[in-house]
Amino acid sequence: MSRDSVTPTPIKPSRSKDGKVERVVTERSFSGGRYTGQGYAFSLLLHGGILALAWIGVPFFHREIPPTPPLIVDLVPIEDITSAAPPPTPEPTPEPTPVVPEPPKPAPAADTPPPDTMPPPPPPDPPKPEPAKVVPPKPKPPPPKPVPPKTKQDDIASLQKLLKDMQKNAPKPPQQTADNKAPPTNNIAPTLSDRASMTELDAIRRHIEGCWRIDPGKEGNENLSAEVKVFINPDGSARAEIVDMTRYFVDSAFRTFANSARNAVLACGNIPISPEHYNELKEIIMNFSPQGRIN
Amino acid sequence: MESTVATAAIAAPGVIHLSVTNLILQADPVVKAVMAMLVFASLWSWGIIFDKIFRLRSLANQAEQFEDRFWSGSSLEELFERVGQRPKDPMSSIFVAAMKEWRRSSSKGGLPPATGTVQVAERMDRVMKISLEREMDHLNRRMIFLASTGSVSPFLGLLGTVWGIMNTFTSIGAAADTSLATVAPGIAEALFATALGLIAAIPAVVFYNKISSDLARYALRLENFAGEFGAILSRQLDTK
Repeated sequence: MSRDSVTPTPIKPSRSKDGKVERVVTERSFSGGRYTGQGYAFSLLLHGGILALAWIGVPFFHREIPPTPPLIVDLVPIEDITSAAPPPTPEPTPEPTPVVPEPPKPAPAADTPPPDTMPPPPPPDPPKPEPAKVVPPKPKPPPPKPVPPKTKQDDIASLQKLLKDMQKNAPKPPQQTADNKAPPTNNIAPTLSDRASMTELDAIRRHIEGCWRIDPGKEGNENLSAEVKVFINPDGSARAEIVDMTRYFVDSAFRTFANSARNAVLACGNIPISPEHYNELKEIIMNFSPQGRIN
Repeated sequence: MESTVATAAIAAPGVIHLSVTNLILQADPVVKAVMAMLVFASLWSWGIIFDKIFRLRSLANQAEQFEDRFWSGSSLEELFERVGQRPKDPMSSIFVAAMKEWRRSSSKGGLPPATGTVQVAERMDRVMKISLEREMDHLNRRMIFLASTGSVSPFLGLLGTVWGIMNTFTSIGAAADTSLATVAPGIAEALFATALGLIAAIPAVVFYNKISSDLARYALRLENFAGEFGAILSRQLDTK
């Protein structure tokens, strides 16, 4: 009540000429237009420049990929070396995809040939002199297998031919399905490289194998295997070192065996080593095992 | 004994040129939209960056000039006349605001001796503070865009990338083909969105930090000036 009776002193802010209340701090007209416009012009210029560079092509966007030299691979059919199962496709063109059906094959093939290879050698020798002279019909049994003058290798070859034929007939269906599948997937690389890496080494192994004279039937040989470190010179000659020297001095059978292996390496010349892979292949440890095979 | 020589040429990567223009043109609409937004954000933020940098540089020059004149020893009235009603830079505008208030107070004539001086000094401080805040508010405009560009555009780019990679996987599913030739262009184009996001974000963040620290320094300079000027004026009032 008493508050109402007291009339407050009226607030009279100072007024400007147009009658409005005068601002204590005069409003400043911010003239920011100049820099703003300039800023956006610069920004546009910058982006335009970058876009132009991208359009023309900044050097590092077009870095040339060095052309990879075609990899020349000597595809040695594996059955020649390891007498494992031949790949299902004997065609010369290396098909990358058949690898899928391959795995199951090697097992049975690897099991069967060795027993077969051992028996053949004996028969040819005894019958040869007799059937040729005495009885003409007798040669009949041999024909299904090999032709009279056969060495061990020929036997193996003919057996392998048989095996090939068998497999040619048998695995066709799965192979074709694999072929049908093949075109869409372009992933050739893994399977091809798998082969390539092993075949160069295999070529060398096979070459040395050719120089190796071993009597596979010698007693005690079946349990022997000798690791030999082979140093190949660029000219294709080689020298060898037996890895297990302790056994070499102790075990006479092993010594004979290892010596034969070393001699094989020393006697061999012209080992097929490609200059570009020389560094990887100049030192190889080879495992000489009986049955005239090198692993 | 048959040995075959196979020439296995490593399949030459087709004729896919991953040039920038191709990457943009082949992209999915959503990815394109993301890219357009990012380009716009970059354009805008660079505009702001240039604007702020030029402005701050000229403001520093103007402040330098004004302080030279202010401390040169000439009379403040004279300086006030020279700067006039339309101050060009924040520092002179603070000066003008304070001088106007001073004039207004003194023109009213009879200042009450004891209480009056304190009140006038306080009022002038307040006026200078208002003026300073208004100037700084104006200078700080659009800085928020730089800040949000810096923090958001990587995410935006990531969105484009995720979308593009989703599309790539869909196309892998459709073509039933996982070769590099099918996958690579889609992924390259998707990753380009992230690249754009980062290209927009990095300068925005760097310059946001630089400009805001410059602005803070400039604000401090204005405050110091206002404080000193206030001290001068209140001493003047005391001696009066």
